[in-house]
Formats: sequence, C-alpha cells, structure tokens
Amino acid sequence: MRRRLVAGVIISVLAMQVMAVLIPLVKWRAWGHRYGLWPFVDYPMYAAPHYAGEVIDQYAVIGVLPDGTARRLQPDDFNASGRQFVKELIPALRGRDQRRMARYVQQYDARHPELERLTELRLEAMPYVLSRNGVVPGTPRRLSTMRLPDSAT
Amino acid sequence: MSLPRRWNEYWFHPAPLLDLAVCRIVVVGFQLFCLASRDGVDQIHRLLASPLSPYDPLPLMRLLFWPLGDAAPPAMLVNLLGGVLWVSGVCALTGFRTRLSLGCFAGATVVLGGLQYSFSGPMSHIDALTILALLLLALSPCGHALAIDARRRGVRRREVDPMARWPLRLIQWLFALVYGSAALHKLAAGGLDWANGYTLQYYLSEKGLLWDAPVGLWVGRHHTLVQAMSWLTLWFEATFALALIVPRLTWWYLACGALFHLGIFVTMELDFSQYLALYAVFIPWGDVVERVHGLRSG
Repeated sequence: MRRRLVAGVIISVLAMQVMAVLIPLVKWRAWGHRYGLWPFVDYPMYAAPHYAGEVIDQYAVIGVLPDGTARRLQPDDFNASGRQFVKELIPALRGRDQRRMARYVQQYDARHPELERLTELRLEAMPYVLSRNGVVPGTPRRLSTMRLPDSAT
Repeated sequence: MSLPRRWNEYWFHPAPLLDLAVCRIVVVGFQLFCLASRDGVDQIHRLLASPLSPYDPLPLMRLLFWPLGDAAPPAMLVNLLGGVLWVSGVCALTGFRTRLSLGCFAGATVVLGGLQYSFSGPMSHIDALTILALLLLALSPCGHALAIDARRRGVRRREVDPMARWPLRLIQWLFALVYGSAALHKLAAGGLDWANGYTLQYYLSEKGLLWDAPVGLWVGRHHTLVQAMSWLTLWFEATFALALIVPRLTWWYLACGALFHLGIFVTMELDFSQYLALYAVFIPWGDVVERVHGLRSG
C-alpha cells in the first residue's frame, strides 16, 4: 500500500516536470501562466542562437536637473530592480510612454527628496557589435528624450 | 525479471538511512544559508510596498489564498511565514520532528517563493529544484539517522530501509530532466546553431558588460574556446541522464557539472551553488563512511 502511494508520487512528480517543460515548448496557449505548475518549471535560459554582427546594446538613463546638470541614473534611483529597469523602464522611456514613466518619476522623487525634480530623461545606447574576437564598441546614440510634465516650474 | 519487480528493485531496494540524512542536512543547511544571505522575506515586503510591482498571482498562490481573491496577502502573513520558515528550518536541520518540520519548511519555501514570483519578479530556476528536493525529503524517513528523532528512537545510523532510496533517485531524475530541458530549449530555438560559438560569446559579453565581469568578457574574445565550451555544454545537458543509467559515469558527470556551474559563476556571475549542494543526492554517503572507517582501522 505504502509502495503504491510512493509509486504514485514518483510518477506524478516526473509527469509534472515533463509537462512543465513541454507546455511552453509547444506554446499551448490555453495554458495561462508560464509558471502555472510552480515549483515545476522549464529551463529556457539563454536558448536563443546569436550570430556575428549582432548588436548588444548597453543602455544609460540620464536625468537632467533644472540647472542643466545631467547625471546617469541607476535602477536604485527609481526604487526599481535591475529587471524592472531593463524590462519596463527602458522600453517605457524608449517609447516615450508618459503614463508608465510617471510611476518611475514618482519613485525617483520619493527616493531623492533632497534633489530638485527632474526636467528631462534621456535614453542613450552604447552599442557593442559581436565579432569573432568578442564585442567591438560602436558609436553611442541617443534613443529618446522625454520632457517631464513639471519641467516649467 | 517482471516489470513490477524491476520497478521495486530500482526504487525500493534497501539503502542506508545515512544517505538520506546527510542529504537532509546538506540541502536544508544550504537553503537556510541562502535565506540568511538573500533576505527573501524582506524582498517580498519591498515588492508588497512598491507600486512598480503589480501582483499577478501564480495559480498555486491563487489557490492557497483564494479568500483574498487577486489581492496580495498582508505583510503580517508574510512575517508569519518567515518565522515558520526559520523555526521549521532549524528543526529540520537538527532532525527534530523531522517530517513535520521539513514539511513546514518546504511548504513555507514554496509559498514565499511563489509570492515573490507573483510580483512579476525574475523566476529563479535554481530555487525550484531545491524546493522539489525539500518536498520529497519531507516524505521520506530522512529523520531516522543523524537526527534528534533518531536518538529518541534508538535507530542506528547504518541501518538500511527500503524507503531510503526513492527520494534520492527521484531528485537525480529531476536533475536529468532539468538539464535535458535546458538542452531541448536550445535545440528547439535554433538547432545546432546554438553551438556556433557566437551564441555563447554573445551571452558572455552581454553579462560581462552588464555586471562588469572581466573574465566573461575575456573568455568571450576567444571564439574557438567558446565554441568548444558550447558543444560541451550541449553534450553535458543533453546526456546527463547517462549519469543515472551508467553508474561508472556518475562521478565524471558530477565533476563536469561542478566545473560547468563554477564556469558560469566566474564568467556570468550566475550563482548555481544550490545545484552543487543538491549534488549530495548522488553521493553514497554510507559507502563513504565505510571507506573512511576502513582507512582508519586499516
């Protein structure tokens, strides 16, 4: 009886792990959350292939104060994690999404009450081109500039 | 030999209770160390307080906290879970009321981990395997040796038990599935192109630039070396199951795995030390103790 129960556990655990791997792989859309079987998860990290000539962009977010001083801002300045910075803030700034950016600016103000409010945010990219001998730095470029609503004050 | 008999022989052949007990101590001890160094409960409090992190509960969290609907659980509950985690973790480590304490420890780890990932946080694939290992150990007689429970019961630590083998074997198979999954995703995404050298150069350089990791950037400059590493990675991940099927290969695969994870840590600053601690499930601790005793007496 006990062995049958354990056999059930063994088969269930293996089946769940196999399902957790196969469901995202076959892109079964009816299955809602990617991690719906947590703590059974798949392992797709770093799976996409890359080729020579591809560009790795390193982003810099620059904040401008009323006196024109520019300073490079880090995730911590917005009370954001590194992932939020890369996956949410940078795309929002790149798309000049005022609504999404407003939350981050609020966080910045709360984090730096001693500083004057930002008048402008800029997104700059430092491209690195992939070659046989590693990455080669390209020419930095400005991707977007966003004037912030309170800049007149 | 009939199939049911083979099944029983594979999963329920009597094994030393010491093997399970050592794994309990290593896995629980390392998990407690990770909890102390990462401060996971504080991270959840930060996520609860931050308007930047919308709560999107995992299905398991939705089920567990169904009275709350889609609302995040209160901070008080998170504190309570944090307390349960530490008390049960220490009890599980020392083997006091082992099944109950390890069950609570595994349960609290699942819930706190699930909460963290319900805030659109990054998914830690490393934690998931450790959590499964804790859950499986909680179902096993791992408190029958090297434990306060064992002392109270008067169990001798070299005793064998038919229920001592299956949890370790199952965790070993989970390892094979985890590594196999990583290989499968690579092959599904681009076939053997993944091993073209540029792919790994890309990831090494990307992480090297992001974390300012000079070793990753340096390795990323050597195409042929990186190409060889890519093939070795694919081979290791895709064939790890051989370590379970051919016991002679187990030590080779464990050594390769240790180098693989160490290499990832040095070049990409991704910490897989929990996997290395979990490798304890591959080691026949009973035999190791016998040999050490043999060497001492010989």
